[in-house]
Amino acid sequence: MSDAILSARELHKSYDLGRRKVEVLHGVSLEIASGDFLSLQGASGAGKSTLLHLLGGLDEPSAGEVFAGDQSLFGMGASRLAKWRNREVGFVFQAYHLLPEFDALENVLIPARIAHTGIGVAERRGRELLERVGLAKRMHHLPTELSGGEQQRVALARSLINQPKILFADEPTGNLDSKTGVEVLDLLCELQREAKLTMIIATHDDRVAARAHATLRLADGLIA
Amino acid sequence: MNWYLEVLKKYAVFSGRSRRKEYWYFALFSLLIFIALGVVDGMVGFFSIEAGIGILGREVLVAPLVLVGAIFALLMFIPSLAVGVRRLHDTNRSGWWTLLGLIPCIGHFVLLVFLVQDSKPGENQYGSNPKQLPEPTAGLPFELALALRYLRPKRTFVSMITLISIIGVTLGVAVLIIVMSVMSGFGQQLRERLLELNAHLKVSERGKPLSDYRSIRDEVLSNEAVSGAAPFIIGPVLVETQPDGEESPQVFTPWVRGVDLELELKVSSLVSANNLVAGDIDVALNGLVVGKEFARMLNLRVGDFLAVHSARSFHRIRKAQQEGSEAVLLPDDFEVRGVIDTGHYEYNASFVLASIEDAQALYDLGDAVHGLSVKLHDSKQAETVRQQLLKTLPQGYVVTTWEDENTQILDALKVERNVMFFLLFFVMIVAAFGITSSQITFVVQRTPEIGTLKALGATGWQIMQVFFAQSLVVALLGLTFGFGLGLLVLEYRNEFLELLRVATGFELFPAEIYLFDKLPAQKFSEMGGDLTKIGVGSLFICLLAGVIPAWNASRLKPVEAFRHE
Repeated sequence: MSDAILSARELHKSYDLGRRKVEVLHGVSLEIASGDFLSLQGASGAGKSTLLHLLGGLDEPSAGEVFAGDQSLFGMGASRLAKWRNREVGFVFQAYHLLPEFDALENVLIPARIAHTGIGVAERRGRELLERVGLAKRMHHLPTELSGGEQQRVALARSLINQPKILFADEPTGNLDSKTGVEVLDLLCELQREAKLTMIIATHDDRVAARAHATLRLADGLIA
Repeated sequence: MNWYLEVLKKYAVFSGRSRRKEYWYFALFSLLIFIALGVVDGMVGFFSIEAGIGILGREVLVAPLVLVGAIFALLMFIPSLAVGVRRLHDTNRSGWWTLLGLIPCIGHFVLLVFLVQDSKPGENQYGSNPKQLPEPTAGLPFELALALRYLRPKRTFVSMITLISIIGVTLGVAVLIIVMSVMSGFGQQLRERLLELNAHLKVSERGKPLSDYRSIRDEVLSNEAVSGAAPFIIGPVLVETQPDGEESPQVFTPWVRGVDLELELKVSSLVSANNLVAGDIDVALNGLVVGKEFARMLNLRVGDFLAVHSARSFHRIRKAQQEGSEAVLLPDDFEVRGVIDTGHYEYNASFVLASIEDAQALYDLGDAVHGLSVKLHDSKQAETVRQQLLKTLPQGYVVTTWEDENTQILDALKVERNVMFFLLFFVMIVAAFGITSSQITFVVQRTPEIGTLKALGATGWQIMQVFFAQSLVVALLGLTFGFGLGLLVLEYRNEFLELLRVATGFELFPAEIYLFDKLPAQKFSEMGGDLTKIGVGSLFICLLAGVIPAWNASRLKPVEAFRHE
């Protein structure tokens, strides 16, 4: 257990839909070793996003635990969990979720600014990252002035600004055409290798599975 | 703000380029600082018309402020010149164009056109395009920076909702300041008027007229705090006009006040020559001086005669009836010799002044008077001197202070003022609700972004700070504008009322009701207490209003926020 960077034990998650209670996860357990690159696959509505959110501490399970190393995520308190998300984890979302008022560089810097990193250090790193993802000339463009692929690259740079150990990506190519999707995917894989990231990508894109070290299949709320 | 600091950092750098943002933000903040200094100046009374000349203490207070303003202007001269030159470079012009500023009007206009032009794309001889350089992000904490950014969406300068809530606070604060100041000024003026026309102390004998008033006067005058004492007689009379020709006579019941002109001057301004509107201040031998409203109501002119009936007439009629005689009692005829304006509507409308001797005759007093009016060097000592006089005077004398005599009106004024403050504070609360509702709208609007921030590791506390900072900015802007507007309206209150009267024929403060013909207001320099109370109170309410939306925002869960879409 101690060699796993992230592990889940008997995760249940149910949602209240009016009078009905729908359980999406029926007790998922898994262990992720440091440096793993996993793809999480399953049909729409199988609970991929839900599982990813639970593993990343964005949502609380109805029952069960998630451990980062030896620490229980949901036992550490909201502000320490927020800090963990900020420092140890990066997220890339299907819909990019960039802040519309901020230009590319500012968006990339947000996690660093949340962490109150010195602005000089953060900015240098932010520029490097944007250059790395091929947006050296787009630093001061607003999200609305960027294409989908470009926005996702900014989001990718943002997720790496605080040098996290784990990167979660939820359908990162879902909103992109296939060519751009491949480009973003290539970039993700390169960065994972370079930084020896632990990376979990939830997707139903088979090309991702092909690149991943392993694939987890989620069906009927359980890991198949 | 960052742009402002940026310009200060390049204090005397006349090379390179400055983009529009840098120049105009610098201009904006300089202006704001000047306005702030101006407001402080105004509050201390420098620009206040009422400040007068003779009050040296205030000048001493103002001097450092004026100095600060001057030093600020001096310090800002070089950087503003420098940033202007850099801005001109940015539009691909030589910095020497700055000299256009020396030509009035046309020069300024041309310069303005240059200064608002967009940066020349690409590099020019003065350097690279500043728009490609990063914006300065120095210093400002992330939460505050975010709040400011949200208050100023990209498309419009400020969002409409923000603007409306700022206006709400502005109006609330302005109304509070204006009304409180006018109420205070009203109270002050009333006290001053009361003091002018009323003696600080009144000495009378219990249950009967003051017979030996001359020796009592000497006794009173021997007190060091007393600056003057004069006898008075006061009582109601019935007067009848004696119009010539067809008009029927009018009857009215004013108070007659018997005064010793010479002595009266030492205790009140009632008979001061400054008050004279027509005729002379002369009451000798059946002469009368009347208030201007009284003269207007009865259509009296100097030289007209009035028939005066006093209580004595009825005594005599009763006496005559008892004796069975058929004596016909004729009223005394008095001549109107002067018309005065005491500045106090009630006095102007219902007082007539007669000589002590005539008043004694009207009231059958012999050589007695109703009492002595006493003036003190310092009106605040009234109560102390009252106690002293009660000790030194023989038994059976009554001493009252002016405040005793006017308790009702003074108390009413105080209560009215407090109630008004309380009621008007509800305006502030309503304005604060404006902040709450706009902030709630805002939180809902920004829910996905709040979720993103939380997903990226922002704590609830950080999110709370962002939204709280917004309320703070709205509150502070509202307060600043409110103070500005309030003080401005106060400064020009009478001009404003006059305009209103001329435009609509509507008199907001008719003299008949409000006793004053000009709208009074507290001097700016004396408003410190009220302004602090209003400022702190409003800020507190506004911040309280911002807490709930900020709290809501802080509790959003990242996933819930995403699902919101």
